[in-house]
Amino acid sequence: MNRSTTKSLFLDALYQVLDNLGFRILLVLFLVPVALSFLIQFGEQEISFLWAWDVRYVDLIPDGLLRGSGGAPMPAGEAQLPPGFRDGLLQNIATLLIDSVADKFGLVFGIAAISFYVPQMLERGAADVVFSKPVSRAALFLSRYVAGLIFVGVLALVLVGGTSLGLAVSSQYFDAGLLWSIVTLVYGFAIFHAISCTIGVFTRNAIASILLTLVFMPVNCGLHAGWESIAAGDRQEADYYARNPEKSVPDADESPAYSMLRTGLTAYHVLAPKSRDATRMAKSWRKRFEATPEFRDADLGLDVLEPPPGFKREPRSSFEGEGLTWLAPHPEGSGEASWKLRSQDMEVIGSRSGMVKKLRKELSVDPVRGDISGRYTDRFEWVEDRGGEKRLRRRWVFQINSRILTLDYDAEATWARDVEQENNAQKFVASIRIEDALSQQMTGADYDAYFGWNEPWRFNAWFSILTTVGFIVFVLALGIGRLKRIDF
Amino acid sequence: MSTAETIVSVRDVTKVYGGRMFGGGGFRALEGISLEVGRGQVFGLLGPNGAGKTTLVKILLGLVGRTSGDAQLFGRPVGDAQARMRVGYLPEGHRLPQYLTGIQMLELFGMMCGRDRAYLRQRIPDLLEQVGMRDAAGRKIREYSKGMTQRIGLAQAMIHEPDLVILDEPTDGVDPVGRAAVRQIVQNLKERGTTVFLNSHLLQEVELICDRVVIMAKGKILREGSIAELTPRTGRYRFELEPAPPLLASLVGELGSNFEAFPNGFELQLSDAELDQCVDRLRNARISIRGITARRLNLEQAFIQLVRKEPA
Repeated sequence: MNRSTTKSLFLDALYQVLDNLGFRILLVLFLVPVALSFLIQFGEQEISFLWAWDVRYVDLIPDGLLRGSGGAPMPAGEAQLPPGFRDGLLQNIATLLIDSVADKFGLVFGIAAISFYVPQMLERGAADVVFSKPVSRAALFLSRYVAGLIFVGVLALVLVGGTSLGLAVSSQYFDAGLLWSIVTLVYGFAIFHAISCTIGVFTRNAIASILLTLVFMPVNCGLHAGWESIAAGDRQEADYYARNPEKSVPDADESPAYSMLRTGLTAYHVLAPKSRDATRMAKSWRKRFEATPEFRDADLGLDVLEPPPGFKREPRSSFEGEGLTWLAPHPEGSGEASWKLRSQDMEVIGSRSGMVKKLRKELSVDPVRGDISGRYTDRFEWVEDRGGEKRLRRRWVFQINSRILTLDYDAEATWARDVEQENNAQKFVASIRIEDALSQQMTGADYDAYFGWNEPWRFNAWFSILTTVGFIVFVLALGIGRLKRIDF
Repeated sequence: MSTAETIVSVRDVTKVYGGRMFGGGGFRALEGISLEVGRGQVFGLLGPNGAGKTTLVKILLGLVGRTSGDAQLFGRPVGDAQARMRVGYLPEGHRLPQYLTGIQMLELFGMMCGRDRAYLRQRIPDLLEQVGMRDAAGRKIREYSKGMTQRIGLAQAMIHEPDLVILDEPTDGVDPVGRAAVRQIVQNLKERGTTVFLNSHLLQEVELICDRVVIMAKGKILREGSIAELTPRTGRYRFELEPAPPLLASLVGELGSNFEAFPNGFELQLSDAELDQCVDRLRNARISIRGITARRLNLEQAFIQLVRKEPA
């Protein structure tokens, strides 16, 4: 195949996409959020429409919602936004656009819009013209496959690239990791489009091709989800016994039916395309572009994104020992303010509720219910008289997996209750992120917690890519093999 | 063995559709077909519906696989990309890509056949002029009428100046003016030395433009030859006289049969001996003979006679 022929196949694919009504509809739909991203400016405190009409976030969001968020008490007075509100909002909007609009709606609509490419090429009359040209059947088939990838690639580029550019220009917000979604959207589509093309060759019927592909999508996702929950459960169990060597692993007592189901699902997971992993990979890539956190405990899934504003980390302090400590001098020079994040010794404190009960008794203070990164916490607050100085003390008690953590704040009371310091405290507590298996489980995504680029094969992104690409190649080869045997 | 001048060579080709594995069953579309087409010939393929003409054409283009036998184009096995590069094809009932304009389609198909864009930019306007599609070439093919689709289809078969053009019902849906234009195009191709393989139901057309014809029925070749060879004399003669006298029937009518008079002469069924006698009688009667034409079957009549003889 010479250059002219290759170019003609590419152009043919492009013309086919540009003429497609579904493509045009999606393009217009996707241009709407892109246009909005240019026209709406997301500021730190307000949204500006068309650079003229400003609305404050606090006026849009119910006061109760604002006060209920975060882990530290809100400063007195007017309701204020939690720290990082704007970036969180924009991240959520981007996620909604990519995960819901592009990934789910776009995928289904895209398949429906282009599943007829191959059957149409094989129609009597059309096939005679095209296949009589000096181009191999495989090349013509693959050109239709590539047409589908161009279809989705262009739309993903418009939606994700356009929105990113819009947000960067109008709101000075840029998330480089978001651009990886273009690749993962095309990757996810490549799987189902391969199936659609091959079904198209076998059935030579566009409706059959669309329906069978749309049926395959949820069935495939469902079977993988079943396997993933088994695999995640196995790993959680294994982790538990690894952490608790004194406990003996119970004998496996599986019914033959369950054993068969497990084997069947495992075989399916290995062989079939792992479309669900595309989103996980995008998420993982996005994480790579996030700033290095102030502190990370990967095993716990704990990130402290930023130090408390105005505080410096004590270099010798440790999370596992006396606690990770940040210090700040008071302006009046009366001692230091400190934050301390510590992993408690379970042997000593027993359970979280036990610890809370003990503190309640010692301090004669009732804890206030709060949350850190969506995790339930008990927050104690009291004032301590230390050498004639009133010190404001706060302690958060929370749990990650089987570990109890405490976060302590100790500062001169008047200084600490200043609005700026309270805001800083809010910001710091909000910068603590927990993404452990439990948090994934709460969102129905426990497998996600284990998924990564350096994990064992069951949770490994490279394994997922290799087997999925292998599946795509196999399916396309099947289609080509069938196409070569057709008498037109 | 194919010679250098042989463009199409088919030897004992058989095609069975839907045959079971290990032989047996299935529909036998072609039964041991053999033919050759030389360079520069306009070759006609005739036959009733289901004769296997389209199957044979599709085997030549690699669209259908043969069950047995050998078929070559330009001395290469059919299906070979190099050979197909030199072939242009207009299928019967074709469906051209609806998402393209006429110009886009010609450009893409020309490129698929190995021509570069610079060449095609020069070639396309001339070709559109030839097929009478210059004004509509910028419109999408889905907006074309049947006749326009046929014309642009013809153009795509010739876009890369192939050495062999295979036309399957090229005048299907084309008006009489368009039909004459198609005949002219075929004539031009022939003058340029291009081999034309024509599959048509319009026998008049075939008769007018083909050098050689094969008549097929039920997957077999019934006859092959030039138009003259395929259209035998009927034994009927047409005499043109100056002047045509009255009472001609009494003068020559009893010599043959089926006498039929017309203003300047007559027609009569005669044997060779009777023909001599007829001429003698007219001379003796001092009637001037301006012309004698031996009547032949036309291709359509010959075709119908031949096909009817085939057992059902």
